[in-house]
Amino acid sequence: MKLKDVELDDVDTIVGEKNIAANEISAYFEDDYKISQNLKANLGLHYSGFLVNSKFYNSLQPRLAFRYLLSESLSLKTSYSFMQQYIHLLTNNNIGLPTDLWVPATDRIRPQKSHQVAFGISKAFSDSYKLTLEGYYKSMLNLIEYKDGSSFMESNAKWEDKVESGRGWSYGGELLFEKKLGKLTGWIGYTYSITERQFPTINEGEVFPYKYDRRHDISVVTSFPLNEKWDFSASWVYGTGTAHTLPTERYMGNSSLSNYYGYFGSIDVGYNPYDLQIGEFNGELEHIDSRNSIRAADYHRLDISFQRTRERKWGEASWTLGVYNTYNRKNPFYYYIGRDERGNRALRRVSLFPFIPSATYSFTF
Amino acid sequence: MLFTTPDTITESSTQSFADCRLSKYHPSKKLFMKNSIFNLFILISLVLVGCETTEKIDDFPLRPSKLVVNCYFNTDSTWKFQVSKSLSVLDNAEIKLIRNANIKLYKEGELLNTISSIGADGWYRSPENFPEEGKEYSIEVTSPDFKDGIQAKDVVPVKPSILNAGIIVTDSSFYDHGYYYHSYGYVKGSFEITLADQMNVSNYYQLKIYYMDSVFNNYTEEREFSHLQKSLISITSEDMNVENSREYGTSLLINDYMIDGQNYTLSVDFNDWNAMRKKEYLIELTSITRIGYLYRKTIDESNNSRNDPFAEPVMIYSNVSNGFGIFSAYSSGIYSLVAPF
Repeated sequence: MKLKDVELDDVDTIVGEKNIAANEISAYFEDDYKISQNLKANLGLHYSGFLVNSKFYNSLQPRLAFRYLLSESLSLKTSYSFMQQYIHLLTNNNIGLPTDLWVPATDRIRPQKSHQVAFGISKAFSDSYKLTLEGYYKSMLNLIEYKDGSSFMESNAKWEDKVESGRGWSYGGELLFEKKLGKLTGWIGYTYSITERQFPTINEGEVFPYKYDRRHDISVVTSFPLNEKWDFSASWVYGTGTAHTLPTERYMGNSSLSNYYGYFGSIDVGYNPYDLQIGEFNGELEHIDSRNSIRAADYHRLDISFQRTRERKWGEASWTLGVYNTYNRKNPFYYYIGRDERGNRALRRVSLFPFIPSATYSFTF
Repeated sequence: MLFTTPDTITESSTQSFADCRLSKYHPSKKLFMKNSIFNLFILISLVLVGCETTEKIDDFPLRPSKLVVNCYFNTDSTWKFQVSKSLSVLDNAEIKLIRNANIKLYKEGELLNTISSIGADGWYRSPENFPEEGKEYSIEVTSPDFKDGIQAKDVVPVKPSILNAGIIVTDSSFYDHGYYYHSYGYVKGSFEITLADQMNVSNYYQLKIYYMDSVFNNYTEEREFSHLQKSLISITSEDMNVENSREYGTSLLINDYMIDGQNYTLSVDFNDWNAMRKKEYLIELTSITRIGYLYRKTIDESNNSRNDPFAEPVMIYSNVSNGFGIFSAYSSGIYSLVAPF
């Protein structure tokens, strides 16, 4: 078997990728406008242009935000924005390693567009306490995703040939409680969100969860001074596991399975060494229900830190001693179908970054 | 402990009680340094050793087995079916054939035959029926071991037509030994194959090229090609209508999205390391349905990315309801071509 010759410029690897020259311009106009005693608006208009490979994209993007005071401590907010982005995040849905790439819009790959609306209500209970509830909806166009079987490690195809363009949605709500004053400060936030994608030939055209779709997200952040010298801070984060694609079943494929054995054939070849006898395992196939249909285990960790700050003649210096993942949570990094110690099939999870202490010295002058 | 108190000063007469500084050679200082290094080592070890853990996960959706049927059918062969069952991806058992299946075969919605006996070779057969071009066939497969049966259907496509074919040689190297027909060598070139595509019909094709093995008849001093032994040759194509044109293989997958209704000439590259003078090639063009095309395409993608952990997962296509497998029709046409070299 001989590989066909390829020009160096056509080789697509994670390094040595052919440079794409592009130029971007933008201009933004914004104004705060007090419509009435209680109603205030922030109106903006953003223009951007992007020239790449002799293709010029441009758009006018309005940005509108309104705030209405129901009382001195209670306000309503709403906003709308249209955005066009010339950089795409190309995610890998298989192994879960940090192999996501940032790629530009090109003459073949259009820039992303999105429309987002948000509503919110905010209540200040005092100068210190504040509660905010917000909801949002965002629709996206011209998103890109790797086609089935594509890999950024392939060296014989351009990345633009490996992706498909589609659309997405993201919507949800957020609740935030803050304490800004006093010895103990911090906030508690909860977000419920759904982020989905749809592409014509990926996942048979059906809607599927985005890789980073995080249904529930909780964060608790606090800090308080231990004494005159030391400050203590802690943060606890929790999130629904990311979406992964894994096979769930396996079954017997057709005896003339692969490209190397041929598929359909009418010629009676008599003894053909490529024909496999029934009963021999001639090609096992794995069934995948749908893309990103398996949820990783939930992610959560606790980080704590102690900080001592000292005033110096030349400025300020501080030591920070901290612990990342204080209770050593084995958060999932990626999954794969492997074998256990006895050689049996098992779903295996790889975790990284357990309990990690840290020490930081910083100074400002 | 990162720091340890030094041992008491040795009762050396050469050292005064007030002299609290330890010589760097003093055993206590050595112990202090040793403990500090050890503690630092433990600290670093905690970080490095704990960086990756692998553990077995029990919480994974386990699916019950489903029936699987594999059947390719065409007008030149009788019916044969392979019936097996699926297993969970975490099940260690071996996949086995189902030997008590009941297969109902329908033609245009009417029951054609019921097959329930499996042959010694593991196939269920219906030798008395031949599929017919243009007809729709469907199956229902059940088994007492399964609550739900499976169904599938497909239509037999029209036999494709190769109008003309030729060979263009771009490189060759022959060893001519004695008689002309003892020559063997290497040929690189392309097949130029003209096919007639049906108008207003979505057509999909599979192309394979065989060469006929030959023997030299010492009595007639002629090379005779054997129709008993054929071998596939590796081919590739950069034609935009070829689905899997990026690599050499033994078959090409072609669609007619851009050549609908045309008499289209396809260029297919090949390397023949078993070239012989006056070799006969058989060009087999197979018309497959969209079902067969999607199945073949997804299997190719899955196989090509099998050993690449960074490749996107591939969903294997299946037209079998409530189960897995493939029930697909095809029709083939053959064109014989004697090598010009």
